Amino acid sequence: MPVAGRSFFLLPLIATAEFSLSLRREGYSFDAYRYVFSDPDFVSSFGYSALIAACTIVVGTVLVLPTVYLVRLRLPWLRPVVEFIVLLPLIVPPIILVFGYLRMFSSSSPFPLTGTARGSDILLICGYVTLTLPYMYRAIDTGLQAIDARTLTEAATILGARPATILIRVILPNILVSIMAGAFLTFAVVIGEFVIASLLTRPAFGPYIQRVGVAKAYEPAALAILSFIITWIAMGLIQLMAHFSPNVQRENR
Amino acid sequence: MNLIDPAVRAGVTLHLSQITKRFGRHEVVSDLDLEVRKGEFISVLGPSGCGKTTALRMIAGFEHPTTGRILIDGRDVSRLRPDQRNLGMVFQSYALFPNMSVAANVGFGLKIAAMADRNIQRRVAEMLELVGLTGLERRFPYELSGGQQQRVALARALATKPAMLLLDEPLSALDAKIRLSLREQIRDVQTELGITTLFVTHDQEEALSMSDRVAVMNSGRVEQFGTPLEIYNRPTTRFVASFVGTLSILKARLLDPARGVVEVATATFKNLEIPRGVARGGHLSLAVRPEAIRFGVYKGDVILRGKVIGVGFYGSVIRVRLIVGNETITIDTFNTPLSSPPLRGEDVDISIDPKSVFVMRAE
Ligand SMILES: Nc1ncnc2c1ncn2[C@@H]1O[C@H](COP(=O)(O)OP(=O)(O)O)[C@@H](O)[C@H]1O
Ligand SMILES: [Mg+2]
Repeated sequence: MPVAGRSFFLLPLIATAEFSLSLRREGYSFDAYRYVFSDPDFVSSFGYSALIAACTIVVGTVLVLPTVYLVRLRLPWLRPVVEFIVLLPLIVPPIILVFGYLRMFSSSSPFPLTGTARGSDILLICGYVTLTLPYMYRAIDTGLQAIDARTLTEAATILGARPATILIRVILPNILVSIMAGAFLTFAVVIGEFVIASLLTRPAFGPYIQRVGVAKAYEPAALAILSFIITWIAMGLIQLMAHFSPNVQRENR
Repeated sequence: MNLIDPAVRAGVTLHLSQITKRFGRHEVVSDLDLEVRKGEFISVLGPSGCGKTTALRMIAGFEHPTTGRILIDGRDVSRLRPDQRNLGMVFQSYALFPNMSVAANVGFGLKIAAMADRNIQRRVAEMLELVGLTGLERRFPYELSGGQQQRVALARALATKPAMLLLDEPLSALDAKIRLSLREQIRDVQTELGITTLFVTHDQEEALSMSDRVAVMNSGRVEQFGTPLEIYNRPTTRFVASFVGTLSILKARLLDPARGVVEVATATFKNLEIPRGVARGGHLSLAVRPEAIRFGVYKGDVILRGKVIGVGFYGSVIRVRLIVGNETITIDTFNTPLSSPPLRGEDVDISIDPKSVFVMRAE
């Protein structure tokens, strides 16, 4: 059974990898990858999506961290509500979200955000913040729990600190690892996202992959493998960060 | 017009006046009155769940009393936020900031108060010397033992020269041996600085050994507030008597209320202080401390005979349990080179000094 399970996961991957190397008739080569990297659209769309991912991470953190902190410390009765809201993006398909945006922010609306590129970028980031909310929330909530944010807050308060100071100087540095974990997940999601980006007609990486997939044969396979590698690097970094965090070392003593 | 509260003139640092705290319908602290004098080391002692932490958190400002007032140095702080009260607090879990070095932890309060860096450095060095951690400035909390972490927490709490120091079971998370040495160290530091201190604990030995006075709490109320000696030797309630120290309780019958004559098993006690409202022939409980009973027959004492059912060796003390009539009595006797403790199953005579017996209403 484990063998069957592993093959189910690995065989398509191996097949794709093999295919991505078979552009030349005479044998294996990295030509498909070379074409991908030399395509200016690849660089620009990847760069665009990476930037959008970074913005999503910052906005998501700024939004989620104070909220979760407040709910944990002051409004624990709100927790079930927040947990439910945060799960919604996993239940409601993103296409519903983006159609909502298109209706609310169309060029004939009071906030014609879809009319300009910058406006559409903002909508895209909003959409991604929503989409990745479950990951950001879970990561930050776990982080706050692990450091006993309540007691640390009380310790800092009695020493004279105000909430904003505590959040920035005490809480944030100690849950950085958790935020990073949420950030890498967010990055992985944003880099591959297609629906929202294409409906908002943004030059993002997801639609680019899709376009290449329609037009070419070997390059899409190379792109798929690259996406996999990017995701794995993100996951590996999460593991690495967790391993080297001081909190973990303390727990191991 | 009297500008200065008479209590402050008498040197009172903390004054709790009629404090009550309810969570919903659950009354956790009831009618708490407490006056702590400047420089005193006060323990709040009570079983888990009796409201000690809640009381401390109200003083700190993390909870608000449902009714009542809290005065610190004569100033009503009931409406102030915790960060405005100028208090130092030490937590059971140390609560050091994991991202900061020892020096940064100790200096945190000073930095918040916008003290100049050089002065912070000097004060931090001073505090670390006080708690015996000089040289560990650059370490991080995870590089320290539990005892060291708690000493850093103590230094951090004292660095800002608070009006009062609050400690909530600061030793409970530590090993027995470190607990003992830290107990003395905390008291030494407190004496050196002369800082008014409120120490919450469920450990009676801790409370009795460290404190100037002890407030014994039960179900949200202070049952007795007095010196450790008073608490131990003259408990005023049944709860205090049984919670503080070990106590053997014997069933007794009142023979003569006027002259305090009480019958226990085969013996009679005379001249005891009888609680009011118990009639001749009524039931009473006699409570005796383990160290108030001796083996053998002594003149002037009340003599009982019992069978040994257990002998426990505690180093300098030997604790013997025996059955007298239907009841178990615990006796502590010093372990001296000359003594030979009784053996299990042996029948022995014991002598009880009537002056060390407390009489309580039967339950
Ligand atoms: N925030 C709260 N909400 C409701 N009940 C509480 C709260 N804090 C404490 N309690 C209750 O108050 C009682 C006393 O708690 P606490 O002061 O922590 O006792 P102690 O420190 O003496 O063990 C307990 O029954 C506890 O469950
Ligand atoms: Mg407690």
